[in-house]
Amino acid sequence: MKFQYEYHGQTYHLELISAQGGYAVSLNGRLLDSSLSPDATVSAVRQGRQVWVHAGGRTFVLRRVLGGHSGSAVAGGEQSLRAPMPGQVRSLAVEAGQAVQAGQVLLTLEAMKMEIRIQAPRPGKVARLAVAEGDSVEREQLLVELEPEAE
Amino acid sequence: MPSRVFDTVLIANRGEIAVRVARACRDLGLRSVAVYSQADAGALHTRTADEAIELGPAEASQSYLHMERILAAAQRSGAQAVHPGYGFLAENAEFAEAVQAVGMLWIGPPAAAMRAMGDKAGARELMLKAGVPVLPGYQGADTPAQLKKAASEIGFPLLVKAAAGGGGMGQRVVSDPAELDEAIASARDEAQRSFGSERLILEKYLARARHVEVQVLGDTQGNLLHLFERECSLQRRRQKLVEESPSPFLDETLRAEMGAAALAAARSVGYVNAGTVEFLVDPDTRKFYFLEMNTRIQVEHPVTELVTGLDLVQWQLRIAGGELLPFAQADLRQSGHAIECRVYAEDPAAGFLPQAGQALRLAWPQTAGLRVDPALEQGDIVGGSYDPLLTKLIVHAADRQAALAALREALAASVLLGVTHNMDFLQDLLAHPKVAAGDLDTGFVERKMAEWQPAELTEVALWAALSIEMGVSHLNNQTAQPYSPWDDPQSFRLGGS
Repeated sequence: MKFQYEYHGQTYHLELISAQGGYAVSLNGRLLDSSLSPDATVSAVRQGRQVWVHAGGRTFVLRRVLGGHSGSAVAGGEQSLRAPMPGQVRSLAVEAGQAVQAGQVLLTLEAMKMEIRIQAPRPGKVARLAVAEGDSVEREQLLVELEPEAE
Repeated sequence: MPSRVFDTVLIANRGEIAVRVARACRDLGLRSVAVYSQADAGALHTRTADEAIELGPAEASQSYLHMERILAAAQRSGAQAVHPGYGFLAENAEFAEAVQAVGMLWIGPPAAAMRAMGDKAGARELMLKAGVPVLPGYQGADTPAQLKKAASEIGFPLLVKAAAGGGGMGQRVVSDPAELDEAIASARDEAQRSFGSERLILEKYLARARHVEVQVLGDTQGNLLHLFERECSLQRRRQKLVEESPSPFLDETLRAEMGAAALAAARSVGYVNAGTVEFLVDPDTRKFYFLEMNTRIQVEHPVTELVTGLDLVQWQLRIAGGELLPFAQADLRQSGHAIECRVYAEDPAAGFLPQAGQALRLAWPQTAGLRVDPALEQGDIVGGSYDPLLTKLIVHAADRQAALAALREALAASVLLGVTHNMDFLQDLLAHPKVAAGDLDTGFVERKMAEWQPAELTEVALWAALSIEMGVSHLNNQTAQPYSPWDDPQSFRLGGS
């Protein structure tokens, strides 16, 4: 999975890659050290294409210019939520027909030793759950469908 | 004590000072009533007070500056007293009189004292009579010819200043006599537009000066005390950024002299309640000069509270209720060192433009010696209608170096995401060797910090951004505890609540 961010006029190319049963991240083609700042106090939040990060006592506002899996889309019309990477469905948090808020967790995947929360990109109603707990899923496999947005 | 005279206070303000006053009311067992504009519906100050009344549209002239609406709200709520905070109507003598005319108490000085200090030309005259040092200057008849003659006597550089002014409006620094005519014309024009009066005064201009002010507190029986100084030399365009007490510049002699001068200034206008006498100090000659008196509580009052142990806002309420000061000047001490910094919604990397947004994540550290006076909580929206002050962080420590270190730590540990703010800038300002050395003047920030740039993006920040993309809503909201999500897969479950 590739991402591209801008911060103060500079562009950062990131790639999330599977490695030794876990994951690794490369920045501009170079592998990042995964043991960075082990005692860092980090907070982050996403708002549209902006990602706000507090790390090392400083605040950074990054703008995503490329990438993001379908589950992280912020566009209002998003209907099909897909797996960002291969993994296993750990738990379902909603049922078909249920109304959900933007940001509400729909299901969680376990992949690359991470727990990934698939969230609703907009308010709406769950049309269909395409997977069950324990299912193995491939990257880009359909997970949840939302009902089309009402006009 | 005040409960015998009044039990309900209307707070004619917004933001952190309205929150602060509401808390002081609660501490004293008084009911507080907030007012708000439509832009502030649901704001922290309306949630902190016991009751909240809408005034009108966002424009200040239709809400926080609208005297009739505020008075109507006060009467509707059953308030018997009005606290004006700072800014808005706090130094408006007409409003103070209007409050009293409807039978309510004004939590502030007498209107006559406000009026006397609000007129800069008159205040200069009063200070000269009271023996309070003022900068060499001129406050007489102000035809261009008379001003020119006076200017040649004062010497250059000098300041052309609106007599009715304040806050730097209608003010021009003139270094070259040839520029005087133009400066007089433009200052007059601006003074007329800003204050409805084109009267001008002249003052010698100190190119390098320290801003040191003295807090005073007086009761209705003429007991008038000073609560020592605050130094506020770290400013940007006359906007204070960092304030501290004690001043690193003053010695005991100068402190005593300035305290006595502040009391003389306050006494000359029959001052009652809390007020601040501001001085400029020439660092070379160590002489100090009266700048103005602020006839209200100030933004930076907490540093005085921390070093003296006195709650100034509570004392404002108690004095208004007729209570007498139970201590004398000799009972007061400055203990330790306190520093405040103002957290603004502004972008220091883009000309300090005010910023709007939503506080998506907000967490202040809970460390010993840190006081947080907030204007908002997590989830609150920061609009663009008013002063962009978000919060004040104030530390109290044994000495200045410890206080500086504690404030930098507090800034680094404070999390505010969703609104661009100045906390990184403040960390770098406080880390400047000249600031650490106490070598400050009012032009320091503009001279030394103009080229400020935010920190380089770190790899940790990129990791965090990626994790957010993976659907982790937030990594860690327990900022008080160092914690690493990176080598612990369990941590990716954080943030569910």
